[in-house]
Amino acid sequence: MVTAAYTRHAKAIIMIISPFYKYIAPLGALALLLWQLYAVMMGQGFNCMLLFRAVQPKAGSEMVLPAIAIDADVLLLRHGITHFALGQNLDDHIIQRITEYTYPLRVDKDAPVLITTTNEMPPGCTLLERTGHVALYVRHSK
Amino acid sequence: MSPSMSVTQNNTDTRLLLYGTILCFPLAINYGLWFFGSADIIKTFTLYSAMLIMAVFFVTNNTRDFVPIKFYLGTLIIISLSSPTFAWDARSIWLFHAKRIWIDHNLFAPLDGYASWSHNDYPVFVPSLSATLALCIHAWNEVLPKFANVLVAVPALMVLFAPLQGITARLLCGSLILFICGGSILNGLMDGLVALYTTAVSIIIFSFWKFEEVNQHRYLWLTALFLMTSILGVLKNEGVLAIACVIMAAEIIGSLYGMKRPPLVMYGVMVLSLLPIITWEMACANYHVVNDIVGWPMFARLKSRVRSINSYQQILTILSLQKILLVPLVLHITTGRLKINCPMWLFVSCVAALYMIALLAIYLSTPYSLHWHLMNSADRTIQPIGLMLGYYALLQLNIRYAKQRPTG
Repeated sequence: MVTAAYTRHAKAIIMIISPFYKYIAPLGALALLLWQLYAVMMGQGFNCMLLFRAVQPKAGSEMVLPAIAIDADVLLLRHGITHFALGQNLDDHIIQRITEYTYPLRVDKDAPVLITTTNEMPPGCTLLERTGHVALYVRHSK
Repeated sequence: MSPSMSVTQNNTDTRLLLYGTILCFPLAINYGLWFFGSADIIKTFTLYSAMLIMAVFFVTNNTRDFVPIKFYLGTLIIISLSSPTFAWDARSIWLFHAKRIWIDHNLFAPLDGYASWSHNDYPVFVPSLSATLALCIHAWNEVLPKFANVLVAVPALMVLFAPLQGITARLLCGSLILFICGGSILNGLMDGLVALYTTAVSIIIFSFWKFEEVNQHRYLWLTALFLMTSILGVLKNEGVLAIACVIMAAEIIGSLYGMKRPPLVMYGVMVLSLLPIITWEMACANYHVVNDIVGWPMFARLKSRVRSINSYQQILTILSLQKILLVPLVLHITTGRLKINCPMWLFVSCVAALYMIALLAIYLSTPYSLHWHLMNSADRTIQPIGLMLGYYALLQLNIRYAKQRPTG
């Protein structure tokens, strides 16, 4: 009795959805695509406000760069410095971000100025300026 | 002759192939203009013409089969322009090279030895396009330059969508590409583009052996082959490896099945298409910039690891346990059981095997810690194999479904 009722219901459902059979495959494929697109969007740090700033200078910098790289760039430009050395407290990751972001200003270990973290006190140097994350020192001639 | 051998018509949508080929022209010309140091205005003109071709594609071709492609490309463009550049390789290698090219107005700017951690020897095809994008807005930011990835991806995507019939297959193809390449086709990395172009070049080369329709539009196919292979060669060093694997696999399977050989002009086009990468490598040699893996010391490193079973075990385990390889592999084995198109199935198996052997050799000769190198790159280097296996499985299922579908 119960099995017959289930069969009857199943047949009724099949009859209802049968005109839509041809849409099931494309809709399933569309759902899969939308899911993948959503996953990619989330993985890439999608931010719709960036779309309106996509042609502005330095758009998105604050989202991906450490504050120390942005501060270093501001300090170096303010003082018109073209070549600078980097302090020993900075790790490789930060050094690479500063090198990329500040280009065409160049990292040069023999440069007369030094960019360091605020908690580093390089010997034989005079503080030129300090901001929230970095300090700019002038090296005394050897 | 087995029933599977009778598949000689692939019903490639020549409009898509044509759009893909036409779109390659401004991209290739842009690189040429940077190479020869031409005026900025001409470079920006080539970029605007690429965008115009894309706009024409979006506005025309209003048939039902094009809707998934337009939706897919439109979404990729929006995601690309609404996300910043996060990936290390994208920032420190490709977009840093682009910034240097744009600021110094010189394609060879990365070859001056500054910031050697940035792999200065890597080809600069996509960086040159990013530099042109920066030229257009007279500024640098973290969003627009990586849009070059999408521009370069579009021709290959069109070639991949071309042989697929129907909306479902095209939607599934889009999902498959995103599943395997993920964000690497739009986040400034080259690995997704290498996977796309390897698959696109393989379908073009295989068509010369297998599908009769190539003879109907021979010049279009030859032009597509020339441009796509040239671009694949200068995307990344793996590009040349992929070209070699594809052509070797086609020769092996072609001889095995006694297929009609492609015209000699195809081989000539293949040789010509290697000119851009050869000239770039000559420039690197001229500036004394060397690759970190390839070179004479690689043989010593290879020799030291070649008898270590542990190294093989480590490489094969990490590479084969990637989900972007496992899922397409299951699909590939399934289509193999169905025996839809044996030469095509064997061809893709052969390319995957050759590419895997090449990856094995590269990892065995790495100058870095093997475990570190694998953990940082396995999910990207395996993408060409994953995409090829998955795409060809989908294509074969599509061919079978198209044959079963009632006509008239």
